Amino acid sequence: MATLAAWVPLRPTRRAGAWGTLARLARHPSAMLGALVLAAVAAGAVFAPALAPADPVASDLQSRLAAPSWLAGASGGHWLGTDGLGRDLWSRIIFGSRVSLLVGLAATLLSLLPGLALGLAAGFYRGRVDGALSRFAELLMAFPHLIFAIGVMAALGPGFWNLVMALAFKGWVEFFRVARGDAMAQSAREYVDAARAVGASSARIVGRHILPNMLHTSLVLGTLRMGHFIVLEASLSFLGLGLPPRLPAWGTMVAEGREVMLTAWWVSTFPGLAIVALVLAVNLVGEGLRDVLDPRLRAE
Amino acid sequence: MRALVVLRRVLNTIPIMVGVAVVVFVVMRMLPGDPVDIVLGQTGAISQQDLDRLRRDFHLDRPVTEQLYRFLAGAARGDLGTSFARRRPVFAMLVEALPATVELAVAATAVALVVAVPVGVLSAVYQRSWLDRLAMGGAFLGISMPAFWLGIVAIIVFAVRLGWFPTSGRIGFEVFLQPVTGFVLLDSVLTRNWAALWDGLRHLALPAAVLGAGLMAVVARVMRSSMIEVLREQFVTTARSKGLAGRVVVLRHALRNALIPTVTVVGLQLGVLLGGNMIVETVFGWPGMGRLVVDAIFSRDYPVVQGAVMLYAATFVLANLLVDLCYIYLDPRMAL
Repeated sequence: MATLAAWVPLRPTRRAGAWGTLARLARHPSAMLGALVLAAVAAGAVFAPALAPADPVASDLQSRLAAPSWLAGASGGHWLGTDGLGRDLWSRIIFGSRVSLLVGLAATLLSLLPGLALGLAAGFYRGRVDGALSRFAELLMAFPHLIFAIGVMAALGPGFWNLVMALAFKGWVEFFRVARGDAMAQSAREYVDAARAVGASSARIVGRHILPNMLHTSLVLGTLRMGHFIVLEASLSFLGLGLPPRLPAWGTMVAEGREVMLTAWWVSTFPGLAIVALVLAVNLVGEGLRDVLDPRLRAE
Repeated sequence: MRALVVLRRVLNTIPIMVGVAVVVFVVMRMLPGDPVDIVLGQTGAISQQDLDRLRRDFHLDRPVTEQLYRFLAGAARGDLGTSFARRRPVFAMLVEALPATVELAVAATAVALVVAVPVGVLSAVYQRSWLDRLAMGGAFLGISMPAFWLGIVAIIVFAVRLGWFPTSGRIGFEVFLQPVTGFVLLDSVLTRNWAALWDGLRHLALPAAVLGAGLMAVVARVMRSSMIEVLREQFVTTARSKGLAGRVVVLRHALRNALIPTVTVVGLQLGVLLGGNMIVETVFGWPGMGRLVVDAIFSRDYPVVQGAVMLYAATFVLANLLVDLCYIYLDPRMAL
């Protein structure tokens, strides 16, 4: 009962539900900063064709490696300069946000949903299926994520869904482990016995009682993992193992800039800054959500 | 009782390593392109006879199950096959590349700990001060920053603009160093070659700092939070009430206990360090295992990739085993 007491709201006036969560999140300054940046990047991704001043893939060899327009002695009027093929960097960064956001979101969802479902089943029913799944999860844990993803990408070849699969194929394990532990802990609680005593079916106990108690943790973990997936996607793109190279992805752009870093520092620097800003924003929102929803996860 | 648990945990790593080998084998067989074509691609015109002989040499004409069996049996003996591209034993290639990787990883860990432990302690002691806020802000930035970009920016600023460090490599071409162990720093000390030591350190500084940055951020955060927790413990209060100086209490009593979770985190972050080294070695042209794997993937040199990934996974499994054993040692309840 001591653990149950910890879950009783400290202030009776605190609003419950999604609106209460949002209201509390709104009073969390760093989470709000993260949310603002995230909203700006998302808006950039959605309205990219309207916002970008130039075609992100059109090369213009006349204005190769033009410096950012605010630098002394710059010419060409490109705000963040151009790359080795004369493509406008700012436009490419705006379009590149689509890759990072979509891959990050898809990899998170495709890790979270199977991880949560399998973890719930394994933790609630236990038995042989749990044993087999746990062994498999342990096996995947033996590979550092980037090394595993590099191997899978080399096997599958470039492409959006291949990239998502390479990340999710190992990504579900974290969600599985947390959900399994949670489901095991929850099903040992008295309220589950009580529900069973009044005749509730297993499906009802899982769906109505256990799952809602685990959603917070999954949401927090999902947000924090999304930042991780975005960095992994950028790292794979940097190694040339992401999307086909003609599409503007931030990691690819940093790699392209590496070849001209001795003369044109801006080509690598700005796409990289975009990655840092997005990952920072996602992590800020994730940590804010954790503070509000699930302070237990704070212990690292 | 405890010995039994330890034994079981140790034996548990064997099926995991076999599973790792199978997974690596299966993924590598999924790779597109016939390796024989790739090997011969560089040599030009070749007869069907040579092709068949090459296939036989690499056992590519045998059923996949037999190939798997050969691979597992060989791996158990330390025989990881022969590189398609360079026709050399993979094991020898890995052993050759290992010192560079270990040197970089050790240096990165050292850089991370030397900075992160004091910063974490100070942040905990002066909680909510400007120093704490600055340090934790920096650490948060550190965990959000991809290593490949940090590496490139470091090269642009410190190597190209300021010229303090070389842009890539492990030691300058003009520096002669008699190889003894394969570790540049160790060899230059052993042969009393101070010019080589200085050059090696200059080459090591940037990649070590970049690879260590992520670990630094994580360790500083963990160090801070575990220190805050320990400072609330009763034995700290007791030490203070005995009239001990604040510095003694923090360094003698609290730090030791707060270091335990930090050690665990360092062990568990080893995987991140190993994954990161592929990126950092590629960015800095560091001739270690990470670059060997990345190059091997692009030249479809299966045996090298297989061997290296197995070595990575083995290191990772071993590190996790050590962390678990530390846990059992530090907290006997874990053995239950």
